[in-house]
Amino acid sequence: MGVSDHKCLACNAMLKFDPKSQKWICEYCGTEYTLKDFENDEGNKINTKTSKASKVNGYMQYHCPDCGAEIVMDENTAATECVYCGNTAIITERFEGEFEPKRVITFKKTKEEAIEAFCDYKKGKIFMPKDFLNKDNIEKVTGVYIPFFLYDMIVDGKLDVEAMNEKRWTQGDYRYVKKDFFKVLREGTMTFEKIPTDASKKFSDDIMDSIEPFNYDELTKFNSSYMSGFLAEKYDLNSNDLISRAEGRAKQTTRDVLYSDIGGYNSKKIVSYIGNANIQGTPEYVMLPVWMMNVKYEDKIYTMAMNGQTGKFIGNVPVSKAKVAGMWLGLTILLTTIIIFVSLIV
Amino acid sequence: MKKIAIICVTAFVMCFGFILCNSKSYAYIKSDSSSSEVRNTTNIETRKENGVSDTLKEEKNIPKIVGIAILCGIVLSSIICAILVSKHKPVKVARTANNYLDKNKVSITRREDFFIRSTIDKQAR
Repeated sequence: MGVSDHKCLACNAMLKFDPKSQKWICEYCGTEYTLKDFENDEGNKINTKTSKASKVNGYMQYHCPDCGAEIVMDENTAATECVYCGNTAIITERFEGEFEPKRVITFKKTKEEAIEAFCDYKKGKIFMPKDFLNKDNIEKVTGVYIPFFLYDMIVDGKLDVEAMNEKRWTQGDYRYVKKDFFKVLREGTMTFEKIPTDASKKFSDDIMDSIEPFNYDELTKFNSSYMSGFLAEKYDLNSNDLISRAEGRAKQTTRDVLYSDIGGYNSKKIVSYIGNANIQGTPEYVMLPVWMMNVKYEDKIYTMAMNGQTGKFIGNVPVSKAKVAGMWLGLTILLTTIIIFVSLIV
Repeated sequence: MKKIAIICVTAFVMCFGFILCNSKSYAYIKSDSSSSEVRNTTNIETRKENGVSDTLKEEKNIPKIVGIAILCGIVLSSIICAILVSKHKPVKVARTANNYLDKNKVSITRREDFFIRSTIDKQAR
């Protein structure tokens, strides 16, 4: 097993993939490279620095191809960076066989854009402490290629609903309420394409779900060279483990679509719903780009994430108890005053 | 759906508060009563008994109005603050796959509505 990364043909320095230009750039001499520049006529990679890796106590140990420092990583890491010199090391064997991703969406947003998105993340957050969105609070910003499985499926849904219409009228000295009850049946078939589920235990599902959706039109054939300058993980949850998550989402949407098709009633109540999902083809294994950020505030770490393609930024932020108490008291006084004032006037 | 429910709850609590605050109490007050007793009242009708006229007056119970208004204010501001705090925790597990539904391939294969029964309630006014 070995680690490798590309080096500059001009000055032999390590290269990093640039999201803005979608090319590999040498940080020292600024030379740009495309994918074709890394492969010779036989399609083999050229100009790569390599180093052997060995297994120690379940972890992989290797020497950085550039500075020689000893680096340790777990069994799922497929690309990492040397903590001493910052150069990327790609473990090519971890992208082979069943672990070879079919396609990848490359990073389109830069690290600077991720930091800027964090500093601008204040819309609608009136209780957030003012000093939270400070660059100095950011402990670490990492670009990571996260493994996902994409599922295509067809769902057949059967919905049974009890619906009711109500009519009220007055006649003479009596009030009448008439209720008509209906049994409503809806059945339908819905097709879903590329429902993503993250295939790594390291990254929490709620954050990965929250940065959706990705634009799959930009999926391109996988090449390990795209990992230069970023971290990457191979999957440790296989597609069979994750089917139920994808199916659950598809069945819920099917239920909602069938329910919304029922109209013309005052009230509706679901009696039963049956959804059958059929996976189409083989789930596709892809790598999707995410900027992960750890922010430390008042001795607590907040994990934020940005979709590396669309720039969608998400993360839970702290809430200032003093601001909440102040708003609550102010609103209570204002609403109480309004109710008293209107009651006395009327 | 959530926003509609919240607006409905807010409107309900405010209306409930207004109704309770404006629930009126009545008392006959002697025509020779002092001015302090007729404060915050409205004349409704006057009756004469044994040559002494009493006036039915509408009373507004100020402490009751204030108490109910404070309660409604507390409930409403708690709801509003809870909604605003929830905006600070937007990270959630996805429950649906709406973004991945091919809208051109949605096929409703069965639509049947069956009438089951009717009920009529009659109440004296």
